[in-house]
Amino acid sequence: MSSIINDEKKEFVSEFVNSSRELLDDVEPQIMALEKSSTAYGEVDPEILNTIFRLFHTLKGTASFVDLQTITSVTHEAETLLDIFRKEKINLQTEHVDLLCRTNDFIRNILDTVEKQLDDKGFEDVASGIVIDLKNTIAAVSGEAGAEKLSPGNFSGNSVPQIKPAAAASEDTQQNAQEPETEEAELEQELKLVITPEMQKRFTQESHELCEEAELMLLAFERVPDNLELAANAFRALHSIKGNAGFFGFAELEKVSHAAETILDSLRSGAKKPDKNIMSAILSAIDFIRNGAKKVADGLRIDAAETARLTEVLNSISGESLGSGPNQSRPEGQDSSSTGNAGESSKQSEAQSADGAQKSVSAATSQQYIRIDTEKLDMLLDLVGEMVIAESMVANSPDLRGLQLEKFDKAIHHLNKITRDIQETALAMRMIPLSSTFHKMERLVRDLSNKFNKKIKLEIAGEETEVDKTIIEQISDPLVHIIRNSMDHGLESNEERIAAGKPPVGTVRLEAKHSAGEVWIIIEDDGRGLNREKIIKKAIENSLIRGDGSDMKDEEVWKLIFEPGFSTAEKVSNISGRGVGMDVVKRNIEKLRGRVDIRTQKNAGTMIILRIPLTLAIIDGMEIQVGRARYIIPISSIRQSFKTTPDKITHTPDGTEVVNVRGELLPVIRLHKMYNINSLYTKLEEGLLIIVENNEKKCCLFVDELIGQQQIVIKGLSNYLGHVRGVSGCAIMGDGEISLILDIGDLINSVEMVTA
Amino acid sequence: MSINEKVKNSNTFLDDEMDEEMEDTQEDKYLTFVLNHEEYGIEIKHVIEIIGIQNITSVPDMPVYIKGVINLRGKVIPVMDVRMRFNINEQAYNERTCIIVITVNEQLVGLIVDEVSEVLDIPKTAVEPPPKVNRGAGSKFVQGMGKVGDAVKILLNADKLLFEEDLEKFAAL
Repeated sequence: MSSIINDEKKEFVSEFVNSSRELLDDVEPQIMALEKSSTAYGEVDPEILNTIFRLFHTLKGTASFVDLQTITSVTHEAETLLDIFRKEKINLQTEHVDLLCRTNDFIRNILDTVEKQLDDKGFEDVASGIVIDLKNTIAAVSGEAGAEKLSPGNFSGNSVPQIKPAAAASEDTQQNAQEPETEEAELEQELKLVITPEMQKRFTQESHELCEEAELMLLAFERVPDNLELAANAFRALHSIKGNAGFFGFAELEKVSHAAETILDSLRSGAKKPDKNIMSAILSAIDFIRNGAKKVADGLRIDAAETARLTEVLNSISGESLGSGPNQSRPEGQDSSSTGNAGESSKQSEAQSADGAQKSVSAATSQQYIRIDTEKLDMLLDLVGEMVIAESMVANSPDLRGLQLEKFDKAIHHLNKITRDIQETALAMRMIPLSSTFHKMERLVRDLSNKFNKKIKLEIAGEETEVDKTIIEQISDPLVHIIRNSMDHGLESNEERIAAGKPPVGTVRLEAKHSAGEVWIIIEDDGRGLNREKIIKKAIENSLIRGDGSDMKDEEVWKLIFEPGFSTAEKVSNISGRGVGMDVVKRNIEKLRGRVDIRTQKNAGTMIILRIPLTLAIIDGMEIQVGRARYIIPISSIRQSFKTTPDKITHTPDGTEVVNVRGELLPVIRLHKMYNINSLYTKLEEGLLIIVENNEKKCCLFVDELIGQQQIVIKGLSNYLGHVRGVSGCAIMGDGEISLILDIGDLINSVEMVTA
Repeated sequence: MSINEKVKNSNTFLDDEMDEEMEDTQEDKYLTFVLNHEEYGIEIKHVIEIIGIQNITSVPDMPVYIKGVINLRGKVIPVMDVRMRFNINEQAYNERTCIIVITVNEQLVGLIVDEVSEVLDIPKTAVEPPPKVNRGAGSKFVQGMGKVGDAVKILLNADKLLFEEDLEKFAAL
């Protein structure tokens, strides 16, 4: 039994952790926006303040619901502080914002632990530190406000009951639910502006799911009234709806769900026995919420009269149990129960028709989003990969060789098209907008700009661009490092900027866009630009290059900043300058098979473009043969293949062969030599040369012959083998054989290292 | 969150227990195989499956005993020629040659052996420590000598077989 309870708790907690992370992600940009508005206009934007308040409020509510005392107490104080701000219209100071950010970080940190051990114990010390800070600030701020407005009574009345940790959670939530109600109604109009359509869709979707669940639980509870757990489940569902509705400011939905929740609370504790009357009342409440959520999504208003009627019915039911004597509430109760009794059959039929109506409604709402475990998405992609292999196994089956199969070819062609469509769909399912990653950078820029004492603003564009979730996972660190670098080394101090005739506030621009099968993530600053001399000097000091570097192209010089151990910073600050960060950029982007372009102009700024291919798992490849070995070259790196003649080839003294291709001199890599294979041909003019290109570096690969082009699914070589020179992975071919995929960039580099 | 699911959950709990029992019965069991006329044994808990020899795609820049990778139903698995790992002369593969797919530390590796024999119960009491003298190329992979009747099986330490650096590599450095 205990394991069952644990399982359930686990489920709730993990749900809590997930939704809290989302909430925290939402809060942070809002805090940033708040600071911006308070510094720019000298006063805080009440809308933003309300949004933050609400996010903390929701967090507190859900935390106390899953019995996480530490989070509850911290969020409670933060909420109190915000409440004072929004009531008293006090201007926010930097330290206040810092405090809120700290609170935010603290909760985010303990969420990981919560996920594992299912409670938030062990953080009391840190929490009490933050709580004390919050309380001090509250005291300071409310003192200020009190002095200004002279309403201490109001405040003590407000804050004293709130300071106690939310021990009586239900009481607390009840109180909180009622308290902001009036304001919510006031602010509803304004709030609509802050809530994005996506959020609203999510709300409708979630409410729909929750209603569904509550209904299911209630119906089961009606059948098995002894199982109080079922009532508790319904209670939880309604509680979540209430929380959501409160957050979005849908007062009507909140009122009704609150009333229904109160009844369910007494049902789940066993204080009240379910009867048809109660049940149909709650069910009609659920129907009301379901329809309401849909109406809201369609931009319609919820019928206030209906709300009032339902709330009254529900309240009268719960009032019956709350009221000590049946006599007291008799007149009202009788009223409702008589209508209930009289209309019982009609109500039931009503419920039934509502049931039918609900079916049509749910068909109309046609669920737009479902939540899917990411593991399932990964598995789907794996399976699609297997299917692509299987398909080419069928199409290229040796049994079919030499046969004239007109109908078969047609069918295979059709199958091929479908496979590609499925593959595209499977990939599209994993696409996530970059917005949350981008918005995390706002926080970074804010913190760093305080630390460096430079005023810097971040501009974001194209945040809605969608990329594969693997890219999201890999892109965050590089962005942090690049932005850090721009802010530390790229952008000048405000004085220097004024002296240089630039606007005093530096700008970092973050942009994402799709461009021909690639995602471009552009980080641009209007700082001093890269300094060629300085970079070369540093590179020589760190023996990254030989010679004086004067013969290097600009692009080659810029690339040096990505070398491990490279740093031009005169002193190592605690933020950057150790020469590790940009190396991370290079490695992560290479992992994604992407590349980095740098454009820079002295005193005008630097632009770093991360170019990442859209699809990661499946590419078009050219299969080539060397001796008995087969390799794959990604089509994207192949420029041309040709036969050559002896007079086009020059042998340099160090043994390198250079081939002249229309005046361009390209070094030759003999794959058979590199990989020690007995190849069919050893003379360059007998075999085939393939011009490959990576990062604007070209060379020729010498192979025996081309086998053909096909779609391949990239698989990693076993970890056991480690990194293999010039190989990025492998693929299973149509005949079941494994071919290694050549990593052109790595090949060119490894050859350069030998010849340099 | 239905009652049915809860029941299911408690059932999986039982299944776990069953699995543990299975694990218990695997103890002291060894898969034996032949390598250059000697009998070797490897703990059965490591063994995933046994397959015949098949096409191996060679991978460049690997130690000689890593022959390359094979495709096992869509999984890419590196294979090691155990003969060469022990510095025994290489022998052409024939119809008796097998690949024993084992897993150590979640890493799948295929072992190429001359011939697979049988699964044997060798209790701990019948296992002696490896001989201390004559530390040849293969001896560092031995975890004990198992006595079965008059015969002696060389019991291998799978972990060391896969992950121990070979002495030659150190000598080369």
